[in-house]
Amino acid sequence: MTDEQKTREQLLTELAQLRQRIEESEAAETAARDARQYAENIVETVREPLVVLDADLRVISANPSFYRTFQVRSEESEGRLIYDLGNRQWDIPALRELLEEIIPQNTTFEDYEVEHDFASIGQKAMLLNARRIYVEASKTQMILLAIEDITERKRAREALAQEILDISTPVIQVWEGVVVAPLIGTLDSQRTERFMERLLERIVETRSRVALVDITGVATIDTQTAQHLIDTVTAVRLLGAQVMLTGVSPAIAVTLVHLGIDLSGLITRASLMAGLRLTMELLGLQMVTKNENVTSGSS
Amino acid sequence: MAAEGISVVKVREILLVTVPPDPDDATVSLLQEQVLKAMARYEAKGLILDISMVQTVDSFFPRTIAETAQMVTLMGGRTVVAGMGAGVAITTTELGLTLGGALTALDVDHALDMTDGLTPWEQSP
Repeated sequence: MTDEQKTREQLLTELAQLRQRIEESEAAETAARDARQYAENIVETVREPLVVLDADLRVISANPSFYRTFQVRSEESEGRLIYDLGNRQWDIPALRELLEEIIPQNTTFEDYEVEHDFASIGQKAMLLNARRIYVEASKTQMILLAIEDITERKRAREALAQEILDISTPVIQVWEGVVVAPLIGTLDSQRTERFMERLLERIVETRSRVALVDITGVATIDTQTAQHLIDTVTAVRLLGAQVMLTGVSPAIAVTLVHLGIDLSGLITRASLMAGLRLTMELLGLQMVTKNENVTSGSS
Repeated sequence: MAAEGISVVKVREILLVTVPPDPDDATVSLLQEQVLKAMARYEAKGLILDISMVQTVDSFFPRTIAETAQMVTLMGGRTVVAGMGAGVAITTTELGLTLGGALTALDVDHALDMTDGLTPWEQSP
């Protein structure tokens, strides 16, 4: 009886322990499921296309953003080599280099820029971030590849640069036969070329005999820029007009002399005002202070 | 055909030549020949080359113009190249060519002002 009772008690405690263990493992399982769901939700929510590859570079999974951006379906992607996706459009030499050479050596890689013309979605500029992950349980490697589509951003940046190029070289007619071209910032060959074109066109349009090129807004000048300016002056002379370089600051004057740039064939002035005054003189114009009223009032 | 494209007009003491658009090498050579002949006949004190119709040039054109200007100077006249377009000016500069001793003017009006102003200068040597 006592034995039986003892066994019963033992069984009851074991049962309680078992129940507790089941509860614990269920809780653990829920926690694991929650964690996975949490991770999956993050991946799904991330706006950047993400793709997970196994060690052989086959697609394990990818997020909706990836499928949407690159117009491939999950069922035709999973388990396949990344290079084979979407009619082999991912077979990009730069990507091969990244996945096969850089990643095995470095574990992670950030902001690797790739440009590729996709058959389905056209020209894309992408920044690739990749990370090698070691999975303890299965003792395998995985590669997480995040793709940032920077096509729009790049296009916007280029458009902005173009805009700056366009607006930064205004040629203003300030008087009959006088144009002023203020230069701002640094002058590279491309900008100078555009500037030269605009200046020449405006001179012809306005029939201007004098063009004032004002470099007050130019911080520094180098040999190449000076050469561009000299070329511009030469071209303007061919049209039958004169160029005056105004706004030569002390710093620029020092630089020009130290660089040994000879601008002796060019009329230069320290300020736009001095340049305008000289222009008036060249054109036989005179500016007189209108003080007749003052004199007539006092007399 | 090219010969008919070029006319050398004498206005007072100035020769006025309008260069046809897209002048080829033969046209430019012929122009030089005609100009020099006219210089000899009229003993003009100046030559105005109106190139406002010219849109594109090769290296031969500016070189021949510079050469002609030099020849005209030898015959006692000054040359004014008038109405060069922006594109032509850019090409000429990019090719590293100059017009030598030729003067430049925005248009024929401007060029005539210049040749007027040149009178005392031209007659002294």
